[in-house]
Order: sequence, then C-alpha cells, then structure tokens
Amino acid sequence: MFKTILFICIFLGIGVGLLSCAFFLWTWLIGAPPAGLLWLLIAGYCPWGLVLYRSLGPEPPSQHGRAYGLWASLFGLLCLYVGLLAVTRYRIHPHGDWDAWATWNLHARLLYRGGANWAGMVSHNIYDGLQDYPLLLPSLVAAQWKLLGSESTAAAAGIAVFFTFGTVALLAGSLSFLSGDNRGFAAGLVLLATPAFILQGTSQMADIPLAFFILLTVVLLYMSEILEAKNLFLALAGVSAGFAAWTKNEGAAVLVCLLVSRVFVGSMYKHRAAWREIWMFCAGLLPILSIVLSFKLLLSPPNGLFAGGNQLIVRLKDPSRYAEISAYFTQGLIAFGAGRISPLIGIGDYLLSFGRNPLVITPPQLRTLLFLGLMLASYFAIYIISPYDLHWHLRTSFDRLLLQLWPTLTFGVGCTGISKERS
Amino acid sequence: MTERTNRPDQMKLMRAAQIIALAALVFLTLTNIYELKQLIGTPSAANEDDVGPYVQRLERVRPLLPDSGRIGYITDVPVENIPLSPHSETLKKRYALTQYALAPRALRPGTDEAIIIGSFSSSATAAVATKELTVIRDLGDGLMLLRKQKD
Repeated sequence: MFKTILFICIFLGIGVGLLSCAFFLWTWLIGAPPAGLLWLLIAGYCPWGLVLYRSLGPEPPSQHGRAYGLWASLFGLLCLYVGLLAVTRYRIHPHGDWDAWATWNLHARLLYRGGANWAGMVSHNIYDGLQDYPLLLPSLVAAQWKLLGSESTAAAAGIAVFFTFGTVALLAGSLSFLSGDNRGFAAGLVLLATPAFILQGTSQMADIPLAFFILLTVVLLYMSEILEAKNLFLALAGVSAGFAAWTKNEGAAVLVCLLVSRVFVGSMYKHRAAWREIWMFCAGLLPILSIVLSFKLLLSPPNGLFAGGNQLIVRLKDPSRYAEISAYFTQGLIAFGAGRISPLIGIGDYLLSFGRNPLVITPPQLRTLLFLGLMLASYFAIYIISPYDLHWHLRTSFDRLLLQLWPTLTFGVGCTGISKERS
Repeated sequence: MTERTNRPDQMKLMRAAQIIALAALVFLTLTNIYELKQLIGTPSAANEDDVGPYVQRLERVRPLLPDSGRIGYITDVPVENIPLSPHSETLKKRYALTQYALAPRALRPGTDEAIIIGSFSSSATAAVATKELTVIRDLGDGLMLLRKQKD
C-alpha cells in the first residue's frame, strides 16, 4: 500500500509541476493554451507512471504487526476529519488568506484572464509587493481553470488541499515504504497535529506547496541511495528542487543549501560518487531552473530584499538586529505550531517509539539535518539584511518559514534507524 | 544470571515506554486537532470573511470597464497617504481586493486614468473625494465609476 501512496505522491507532484511549467511557457511564448492541448499533455505524461512505479522496486518485507489495522484506521479517520475541517475553512475563506488573493490568485487571474497582456501586468502594475515571486502556483491554478473551462475558487482551494494532504501522504508513505513498519502513520500524525500547518496549507498560499517540494526532493534523494534506479531518482530530485525554486523565492536558498550539504557530507565520508550524483541532480534541475531564471531576468522586477547597497552594510553591522532575530527565533520555535501542545513534543514521542538507536545518524540523515540547519541560517541572514521593518517582517513570515521546513524535519528525524533495516 | 533476568525486564520497560509515547502522540494529535477546529470555527454570517462580499460588490462594475488597460483608483484618503492613515490596513486591503477583483485591468492610484473607480466607506468622504470628478455610475455601497470633468 505504501508503495502505491508514495508512487501517487511522486507522480502527481512532478506532474503538477510540469503542468505549471508547460502552461507558463505556452502562455508566455505563444499565448493562452487551449484546454485540449493541456489534456493532451496530461495524457502524454501518464504512461511515464509505469516507469516510475517499476523503478520503486518491490515493497519491503512488512513489519507492520497486529497494530497495522488500528494505525491505518486512526490515521485514515483523522485525515478525513481534518479534510472536513479544510472544507469548513474553504467555506469561510473561499478566496484564501491575504497573500492568496493579493498575490497568488491575483497572478493566476492575470495569467488566465490577461491573455497576451499578462506579462506586463505581472511585472509592473500591481500595487503591493511580491511581484517578483515565481509562478508555479498561479500557473497551476490558471491551468486548472483552463482545464475546467471556468474560474472557480474551489479549484484554487483544491490545489491547496492537494499540497497539504499530499505532504502528509508523502511523509507517511515514504517513511513506511522505507522502513516497512507503521512509523509513517505516526509521522503523519505529527503533521496533522500541527494546526498551523493545516491552516497555512488551506490558506491557498505557496508555503505548503514549497514544503511539499522540499520534502519530495529530500525523499527522492534518500531513495536514490537505496533503490537501483539511482540516476532516475537523482534527476527527479533535481526536477523537484527546480519546482521548489519555481514556487517561491526561498526555493533558491533550498538549491544552495541542498548542494552545500551534499558536497559537505560527501567529502566528510570521502564519498567519491558525490560529484557524479550532483551532475545527475543538476541534469533534472537545469531545465526547470532555466524557466525560473527566464522569468526572473526577463519578466519580474528586482527583489526588494536586496535593495540599497549602503544600507545593507549598515544592517549587517547592527548587533541589535542579530539579538532581535535570535530572540524571535527562540520564541517562534517554542510557540511553533499554534497547537495546545507543541508538535515538537510529538517528534520526541515518535523518536521514543521508533528511534531504536537515535544517536546513530546515517549520512542521508546528516545531509537532511545539515540542509535544514543551513536553511534556518539563510533565513536568519535574510532577516539581517531585510529593508522592511524588522518586527513586522518577522511577525508576518517567520512561522511560515518554519512550516516550509517542518515536514522535512519530521522526515529527517523519522528516518532514524531506517537505512540499515532496509538494506 | 542477574544480567539475564534484567534484560527481559529492560525490554518490558522499553516496550512500556514506547506504548506510552505512542499514546502520548495520539493524545497530542487529538488535542491539537480539537484546537484546529476551534481556530477554524464554523461557517456562519458572523464568521465569514469580508473578502467574498467585497469581491462580489466589485463584480457589478466589471462589465462597465474595458477588458484591459489601466483604471484609476481613489478612496477615503489619497492612496499615497494610506500608510499614514489609522485605517491603513483596511484601506490597503480594499485596494488589493479591488486589483484582485478587476484583474487583468491594472489599478493605478490617483485620478490620472480616463476611468476611475471610487471605493468609499461613507457618502461624506465620497462627496469630498469626487468633487472634481464626474460620476458615470453610482453603484451603491460607496462604489462609484468616475471620470475626470471636461474643462
């Protein structure tokens, strides 16, 4: 079952990313694509699923035990209940939260309604920031409207639900596929037990889609270590990392941190194949990255974060900023999740239950944890140079940045003790 | 001999700790999902956000506008003064919502464009702001379609 769940998550994740890229490129270079063409692209993509399914290899020997039925029922019921809460949230906020309608769905409307004129509007004519944000989510929403033949808030909300529950399914499916036991259900519960994750996911903003692609990239890299079709999964990880960069500007930091952590851990373990693996990763990444760079260089205005060279130096030298950001990071981590009980405690419960030897860290785990540490450091650096009011910037973004990394942290911790069992 | 008797005890203790940890995880999940339900609330007139009605209100003006191009925008205070206004959040939200509703037309602050949308919270502020403009259509609820007066 977990192989199927994992397959669906990878297949759909890569599929929606490709659909977004195809829609964007066609709209930009030729004009609004007809729905028939999009259906043709989808039909052309489907057979590739067979290759992917076979490449996943056989399901590992089951160690689910008698508790499997109980876990599966509990997990399924809670997913269903949280799904109903997501529908309720949609009924209250059909257009999503502020950034959803002020940026993401607005850009989707420009792409869908604007025809040949949309590019000029994305670039210059919107009052409030985020004009330079990449277009995976808007293109995907617009493509779905095109496929359905009309605009609807339900389509955008459906995509939000796909990424939210897709992340939960990807986490649960990958961990149980890799381990052969019930730990995926437990890790999935940790995500469901993070109210901020569900609220953010159903807000129709791009942070949880980014979290999905970060997790998908890390999962694919992990699988490239243990499955025979190593090169395929490395290239797919590159494609997925490209989609992260096509989702939000933070995706650029994801690329840098992934490569640095891979090179660093590779050299630590004198892993000779590390460079060859990086080339395979880049082979998947480059086509998507070229779309992101084309958008950045030819269409979008420059990013406001790096404006004002002299002021940037002043901010870098200001110790009070470091203190304020450190204090906010600490507070933010303590209050993380918006739940009555911190979901970080859930991670502790998980480790106690499944981490047979939590102090033994495998190279892929070390890479994942190093990657997450580097991501936090890069977010810290961005706050240091931010030209915006620092308190406002932290207040309006820090919890979302943590949520982008939360599923991957859960996966990284959740892998404790897996690779030996699997091999 | 003692080691042999201790090991099963340790295993039992470990097993008990694992079961307690799993029970704690399930308890945490149920508690936080309950919290999520409280945070989301229930769909009711009081709970619904103001985005839907505002966008709906602007749907009335869409058919009266050209399909693309620039549209001017004025509100209770000049747009450049919005950040200084005590109601800046509300005013910014209205501007962004107007852009969202009227896309792909590009909303420009001020009265430089041929057609101007006026979005006001009261008839008094509308009267002041539209003094030098001609009302093409008053759509009610403080929403107006305007143009510059001809000299």
